[in-house]
Amino acid sequence: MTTEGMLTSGAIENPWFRTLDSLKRTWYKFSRNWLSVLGLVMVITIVFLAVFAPYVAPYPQHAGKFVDFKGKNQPPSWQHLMGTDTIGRDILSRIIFAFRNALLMAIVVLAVSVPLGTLTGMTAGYYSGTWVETVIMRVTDVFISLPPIILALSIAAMLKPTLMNSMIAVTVSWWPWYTRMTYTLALSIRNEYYVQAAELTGASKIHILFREILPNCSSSLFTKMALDVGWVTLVGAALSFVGLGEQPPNPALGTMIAEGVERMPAQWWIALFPALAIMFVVLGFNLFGDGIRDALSPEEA
Amino acid sequence: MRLGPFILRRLAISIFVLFGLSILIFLIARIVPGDPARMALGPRAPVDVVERLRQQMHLDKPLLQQYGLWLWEVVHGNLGDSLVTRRPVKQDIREFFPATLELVGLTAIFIAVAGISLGVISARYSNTWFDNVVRLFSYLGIVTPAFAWAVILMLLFGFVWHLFPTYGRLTEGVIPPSTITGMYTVDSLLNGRFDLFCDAVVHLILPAIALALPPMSQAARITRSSMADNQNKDCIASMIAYGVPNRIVTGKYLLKPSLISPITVMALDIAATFGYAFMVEKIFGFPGMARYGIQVMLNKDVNAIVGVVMVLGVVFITLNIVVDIIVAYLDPRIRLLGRSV
Repeated sequence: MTTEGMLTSGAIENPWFRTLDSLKRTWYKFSRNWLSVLGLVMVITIVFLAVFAPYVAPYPQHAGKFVDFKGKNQPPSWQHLMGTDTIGRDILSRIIFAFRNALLMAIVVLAVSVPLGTLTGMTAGYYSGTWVETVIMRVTDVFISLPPIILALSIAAMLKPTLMNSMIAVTVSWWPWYTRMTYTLALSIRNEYYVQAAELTGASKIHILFREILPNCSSSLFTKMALDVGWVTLVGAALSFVGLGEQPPNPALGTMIAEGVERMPAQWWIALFPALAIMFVVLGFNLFGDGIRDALSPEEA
Repeated sequence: MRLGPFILRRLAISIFVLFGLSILIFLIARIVPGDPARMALGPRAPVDVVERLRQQMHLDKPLLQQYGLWLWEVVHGNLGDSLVTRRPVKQDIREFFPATLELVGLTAIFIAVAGISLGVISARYSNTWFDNVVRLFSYLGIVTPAFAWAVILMLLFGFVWHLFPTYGRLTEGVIPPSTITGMYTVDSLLNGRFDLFCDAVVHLILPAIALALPPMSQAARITRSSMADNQNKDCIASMIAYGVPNRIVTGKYLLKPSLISPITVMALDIAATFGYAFMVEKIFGFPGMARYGIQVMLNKDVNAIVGVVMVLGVVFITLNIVVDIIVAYLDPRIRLLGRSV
């Protein structure tokens, strides 16, 4: 359908046009705060670097098994913007490749936690007062009695140290927080008039859960997801810092800091730049997430 | 005040959660692929030795019976033997835990005192330069993980300005105070050694600041926003109109309801500090749980890991009960009705 056709054939009724329109409005609200835009730019940079790592990293071969003892421990220079590590690998290149693993971890963790947490939380909230709520929420209570970092560390500790297992460990400790958030939301939404109206007109439970409650949780969910990419990266780095994640020679932000700390006063750049890289990721996704929250929250009266 | 039944109910829930946590952690320890006995002894150990350890660890019995036997021991305070150090886990924990507890304790003091006061001042003088500086730095504080702060602080204070020591618990060569609690600061005071106390505190400061900065910033932000929310309420406006001094309005009527959400968040943050303490201790060469924890983790020492998690679980649940009592004290709705409104 052409633009002209859209305009003439009743633009208001056309769902695509409406989506476009609401996207435009969201973008307008989002872009009013320059910090949100800065966050978006940082997020795009991180994703771009991660996706095109082999093409943008100055020394792509340094991401894997590579040794250059002549060029080891070099301070930052024009050849190596962030210096080289103890066996002569370019730190900038390794950070860029480490972003790949960090984002992969965030995607996997969220791809499992969000559907699982949302479904259980929504169900528990809608069926509040029944045994369904009791079972789901008491199980969740047990999981969130420990902060995610502790639970993730202890689960990862009992598994073999691989990237996959660290993802499993973080996921297991992450989903209950989605359950709790959606549960709280669903508890208040289920008393809204539109949900009661849907119930009165005989809508099915599935319809109420997915078409009435879920869409009203979405803005909180999107905000939390955006923020969580940063936090998952942080917890992932914490795991790899103690040696429970991606194994050397593959690059991981936590491992790089752990290696650098042993060289601390003299070769400060080995630990400092990966630490700043983690800060960059968390800051970027935080600014972005806060921007999404502002853009998606309903207009203040 | 009906605080008694409230605390009892919280206690009952906590015991239930602790029980659930024990099932969770036991299940994970048992369903991981690989034989714990084989992993403890290494691939070259003879089969009959492994088999004997399996029997010792009750690995040959059905899962439910294993759990029952294990729980029986745990309830009696026996966490089993570490498969790496060959000593009772309890003894290992008693040796390494006080150092971490001391560090986290100082961190908690920093978080509570600095976080809340910054938030209160920031809200009191909102939209002034002070407020803006606090807001900017609290944002940076939140997004920078404790271990990144540790690296930055170590560089600045340890190597550029030489203000604080950056390694260990005491200056090298100094004999630690005789063990009473295992916490050097407490022990040195109990022994009347003020010089040792100062030395121990100076060594704690940098790691504690590194650990405290992110949660402290979070606490400041939440305190500020909840103070700001409450500031606009009619009751506050009428109190100011009646001529109640500003000091009393802020310190008494505004602070009490505004502290509830920061304190709840702080409890979880302080609990998470035990996790981040692993990294910060390693960076500062601080001989706490980290050294032991990382060693047992990398060696798949199942008994020790489960033991550490159970001890931390008890610590967190105690922390949560303390917070619930503080919140109940602050909020009569929770105290009297037994629920938050």
